[in-house]
Amino acid sequence: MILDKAADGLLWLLVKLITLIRRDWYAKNKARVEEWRLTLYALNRSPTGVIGLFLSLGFVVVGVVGPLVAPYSYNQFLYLERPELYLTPPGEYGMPLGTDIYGRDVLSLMLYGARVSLVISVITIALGVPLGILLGLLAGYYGGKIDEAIMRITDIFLAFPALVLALALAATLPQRIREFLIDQPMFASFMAAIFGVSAEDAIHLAPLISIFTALIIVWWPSYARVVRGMVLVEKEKTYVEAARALGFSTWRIMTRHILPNIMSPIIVLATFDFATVNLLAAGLSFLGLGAQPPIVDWGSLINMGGSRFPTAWWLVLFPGVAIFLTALGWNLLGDALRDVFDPKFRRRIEFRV
Amino acid sequence: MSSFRKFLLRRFLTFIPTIFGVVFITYLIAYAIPADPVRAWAGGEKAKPEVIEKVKQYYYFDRPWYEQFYYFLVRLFEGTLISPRTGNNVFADVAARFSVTFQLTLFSIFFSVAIGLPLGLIAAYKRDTKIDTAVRIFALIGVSMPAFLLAYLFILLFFVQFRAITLAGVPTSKVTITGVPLIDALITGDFENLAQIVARYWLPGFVLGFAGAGIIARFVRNSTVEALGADFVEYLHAKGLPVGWVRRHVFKNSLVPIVTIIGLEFGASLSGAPITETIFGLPGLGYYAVQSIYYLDFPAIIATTFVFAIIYVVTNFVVDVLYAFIDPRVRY
Repeated sequence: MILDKAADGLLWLLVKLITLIRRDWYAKNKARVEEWRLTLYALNRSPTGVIGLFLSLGFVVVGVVGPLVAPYSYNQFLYLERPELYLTPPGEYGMPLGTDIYGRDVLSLMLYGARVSLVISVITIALGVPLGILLGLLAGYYGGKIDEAIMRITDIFLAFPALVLALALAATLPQRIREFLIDQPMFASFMAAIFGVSAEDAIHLAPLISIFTALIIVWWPSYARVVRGMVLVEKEKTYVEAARALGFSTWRIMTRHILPNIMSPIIVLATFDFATVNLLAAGLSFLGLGAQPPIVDWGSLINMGGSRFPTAWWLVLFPGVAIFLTALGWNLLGDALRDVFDPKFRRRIEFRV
Repeated sequence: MSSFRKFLLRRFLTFIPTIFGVVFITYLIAYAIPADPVRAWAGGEKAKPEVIEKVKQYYYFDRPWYEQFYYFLVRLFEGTLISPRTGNNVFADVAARFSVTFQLTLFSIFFSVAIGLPLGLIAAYKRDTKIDTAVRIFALIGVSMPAFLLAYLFILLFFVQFRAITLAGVPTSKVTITGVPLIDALITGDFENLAQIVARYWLPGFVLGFAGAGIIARFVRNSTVEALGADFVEYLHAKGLPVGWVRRHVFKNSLVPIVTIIGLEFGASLSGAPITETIFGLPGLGYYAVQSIYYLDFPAIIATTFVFAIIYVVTNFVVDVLYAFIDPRVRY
């Protein structure tokens, strides 16, 4: 199997990289690396999982290199010099995916949009999920008043439909964030760099920053609730009692003992949520709360095309399919990972390996 | 007092902090987060100074935040928030649009259940076959499909090609009984009106319910597979009961998670309403929320967010109560 070879190679590279920093890491963690190898082998046995892996990895790669390889920049308004480029259908005048109302190349805009989607989903998951995990651990482990307080706050956030809360926040936040961007030029140029836009357009990033801020606020509560539930089960188990008897600190028991044991469902959930965040962010952007001109993302392209539908169908179809494939990739991957992490199913696959 | 009543009371009491929290968050969103709420409330960049002064006084922006919050609460519960955009009382605006969103949600739930339930059942009966895999992939496609892509594809097909649907106006009731045209038409037996309503709502309902169909199919499948594994199924088979009867028993036993997910889907379709209503030009709550946001109409944003949250909380409550009726073993 080529895929198994690829998995071996990937792990070998990873081990080499870690050995560069900590010399004796591999000798100590050999068992853990073998476990990862088996996990990857098991994933390779699931066709849908492999498709999902390719789609989601493809999205990440396009998101990272997209703005660098785009044939035109997002702020090249070709329409100004060549009026015939206004809303060119795909394939005409050498524009493979057509142009938008400013004569910009849609292929390039899609590549820039991939970066925007990637950054928004990575930041939302990277900040929202740990926050939820932390609060869930605290609530579940300590119980009592802390639990009650955290869960009441969680309930309040869960009482809003996700899109509605995100909509309200994304509508009110941009003004504040714009002020913040003006006050903090360092932060502004950092944001411009990671979103792949030029520094003078940093000020237009305020709506995008509000989108991921809003999504983080919407995202943590479900993780807090899930983690709390699992911690309540885990903390009654013997190994936690043993760790406590050994006199380990509460923090160590929570992070080094309980957390690894509940990690696989969280990883599965987070994989699914890459899809959900992408869809929700695209939805907000479609409703006009996302990227403001000249910056574009997939949702705002569809918004532009939607008001000129069906004439400018390519502005709806290409970004729409891109969003769909991205979400499908993450969902297929998450679905396969759920099977891979499920001990019963895992045994069935391992016998075949 | 019976234990069920006690449960109702207890659940009702836990509502109060949640609702209070919801109100506080809406207050933060409308008063504290915007950089210059007074200007926005007065009508944006072009607001006249005297209007700003008036708004400032009317909404007590010159007072400390706890007084503002107090007056905010009073206004919200008195229902006297005025929308600067339409000049109407926001709750009157919300009430006028509620029936559209409600009907849309009904159609969406109908499609979710009508597609998801049979698919989930078939997948569970034919477990680990090609049919099972197909349903699984259908479910994943359902949750991955952006509503706007599906909506525009259908608009292209049914509106542009076949001219089979309309995208403007909504049917109203001829005789107002409940205020919801669909239910009114059903009560009065007015089939002409009913047909108009169905013609206007079926496509948006389908688009909104498509993701839910996938999710429900997955839940029904898993829950049925679990119930099929129970000992009583083997016993009933051994007893020689026809397959149809056994399946009826299995269905009853798998119903609790299914009802939960349908309840959650109700909330999810509220969440999807802004996008679907915007595309299909339905003047419902979601569309109203989006329009209020474009015009920074904060009182309207507060009212819609608040109403959405209340509907959501009440739905969860109803689902909890339904458990007792579905599964007589559930005791409170």
